[in-house]
Amino acid sequence: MDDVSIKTAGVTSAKSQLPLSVLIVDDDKTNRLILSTLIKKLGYTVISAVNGEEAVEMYANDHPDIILMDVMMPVMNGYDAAVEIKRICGEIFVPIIFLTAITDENALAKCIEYGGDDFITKPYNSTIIKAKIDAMVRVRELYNHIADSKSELQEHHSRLQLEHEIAETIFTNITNPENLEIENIKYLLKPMSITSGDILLCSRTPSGGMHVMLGDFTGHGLSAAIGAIPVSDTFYSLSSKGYSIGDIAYNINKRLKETLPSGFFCAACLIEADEAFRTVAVWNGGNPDIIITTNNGPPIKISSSHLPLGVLNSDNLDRSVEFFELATNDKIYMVSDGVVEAQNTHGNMYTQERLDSVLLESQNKCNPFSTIKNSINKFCENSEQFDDITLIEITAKPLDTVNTAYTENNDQALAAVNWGLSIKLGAGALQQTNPCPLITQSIMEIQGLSEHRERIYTILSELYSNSLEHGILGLDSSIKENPQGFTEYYNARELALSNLKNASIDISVKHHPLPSNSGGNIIIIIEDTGTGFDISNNTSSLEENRNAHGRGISLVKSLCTSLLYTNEGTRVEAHYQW
Amino acid sequence: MALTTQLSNDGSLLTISINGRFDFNLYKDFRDAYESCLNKGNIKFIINLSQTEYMDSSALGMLLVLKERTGSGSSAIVLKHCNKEIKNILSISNFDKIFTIE
Repeated sequence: MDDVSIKTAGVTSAKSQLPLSVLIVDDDKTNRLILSTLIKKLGYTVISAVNGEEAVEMYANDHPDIILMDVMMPVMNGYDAAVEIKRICGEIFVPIIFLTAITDENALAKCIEYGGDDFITKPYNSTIIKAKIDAMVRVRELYNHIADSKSELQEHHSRLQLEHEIAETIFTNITNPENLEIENIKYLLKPMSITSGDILLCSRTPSGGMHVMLGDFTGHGLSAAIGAIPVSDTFYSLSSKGYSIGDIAYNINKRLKETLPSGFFCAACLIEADEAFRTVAVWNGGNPDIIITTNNGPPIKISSSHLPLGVLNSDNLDRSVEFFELATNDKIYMVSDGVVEAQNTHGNMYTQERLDSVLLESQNKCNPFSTIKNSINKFCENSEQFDDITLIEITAKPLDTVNTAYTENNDQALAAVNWGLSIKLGAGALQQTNPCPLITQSIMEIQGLSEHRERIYTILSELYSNSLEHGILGLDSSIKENPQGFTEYYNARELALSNLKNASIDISVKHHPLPSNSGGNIIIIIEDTGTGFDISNNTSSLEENRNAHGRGISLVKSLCTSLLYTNEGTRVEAHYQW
Repeated sequence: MALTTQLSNDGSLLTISINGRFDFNLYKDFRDAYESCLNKGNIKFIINLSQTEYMDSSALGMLLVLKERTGSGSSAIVLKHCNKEIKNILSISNFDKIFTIE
């Protein structure tokens, strides 16, 4: 008999309201008659067999619920029949009660040994028979109940296993760890279950810089992996369009708030580095301290100053970031709380203090990352892991020299045509948007110039920030020469921007095909209502200009076929040929 | 019991005390603890963390759900008697900005 029909037999008799059936096995006709009358009176249906062999056959055909079995019978005795029936019924519990005149203790013990569940000694007493059958019915019900739960549990378990595997595939595909295979990044990911609740995302920006995000979702496993989909989607799509990490944090928060159930969120650190890796912008919402180790001076700690993503309504999300200046080979470390809360076999936590001191020590070693990684692995050795563990080290290095696995999608350039677009931003718009990603994206859509995206974006954003920061806000970029200059500069910028009234910037982009039809010429004109600024200091060549500031304009100059500031620096026209 | 509740005599203050680890294992108990009190109008909640050893992100999530269900400002929910560890977790996540902590 196969598994399926056994299961059907068990389920039918357990769940149907039909009376249970009892199989009486006895070679003595009188005994069969007495028992059968008695048991029918108790409300059971009765079938009977005259020896062990017939009993086995009847069991296989009729699936009785309880069996009363004589011991001594011709052809096949009760012991052998019991063994055979128990073998056939497998997982199903069919109680066998032996009927015996024997009072020898060893013989009674033998009944149980051969698979019997109880015995009744002759002569029969109706009260005892009723009691014993009732007891067996109870045991049988309990057994069936457990068996049902067990198979249900197994089914759930295998379904869960399958879903986990699907989730893992999705998770791996969307987070695409290939993007992390960059020379200056080292990382450790130790998920607690098959799928991790931690994600690491890395992307190169159109202007040659880099965005890195470490996210840690509430919980672990499947539910956490689901949140990774909107997060990585938003991250990669905005990053590749040149949005800043403040904008990315804002949009991820919005997306999570809209899609995830409340109480579910993502603690996140975002880092943005420029191509030269001279400055990094940092946004930390709910993750442990980000630590920057420097070659000359104590480590810098950046504590979480925001709520995790997915908690606040988008209006309340603070997208402000902190800026730091780095020197080549400074290192940035980010961890998920799984690291500082990792437990050893004594139940002690790894702690932030331990991480700080290991970080400090590791800086004298030739491979700081592996020192830290070994310290964490050694601490957690042989102990149960309660949370996903993630550690990432980013080394400051000019990114134009760094090899990346980053592949650009090479859309074919479309045939050069005549078109133009213009946009006017008033004070309010200047405060809350950066138009450069939008304009770059529009150029890409109209002309399909993805291999020129970085250069076009750089030209636009450099000219726009000059116009905004120097033309309109009147900031002095020489502030950047001081040791704390960059921070000071960006703080001044935030302040001036928030007080801005009655100002506007006009941006227009025109495109003409080249006469030979071999490409096109993009003309970018930016005009502002500011007082203008002295551009003479900023127009030296890129090679000559090694100052902390003013490289922007010389960089743009090197990318353009022509660059011309007029009207005391309030109007600039740049030509870019492709 | 990992979680005990106490309703003040006038029914205006529900204290939920959490003993030991405050994590996803308490998800159902925690919800059951406040669910029946939510439609009783102006009720305040005290989450007593004096006996709480540890709190994970799921616990933060549970607090957020409670906050959302009460629909009012942070003043309706007060987190009391946090140990150093828990204060640290609340401050890293910046939950001290959206909950009253005493």
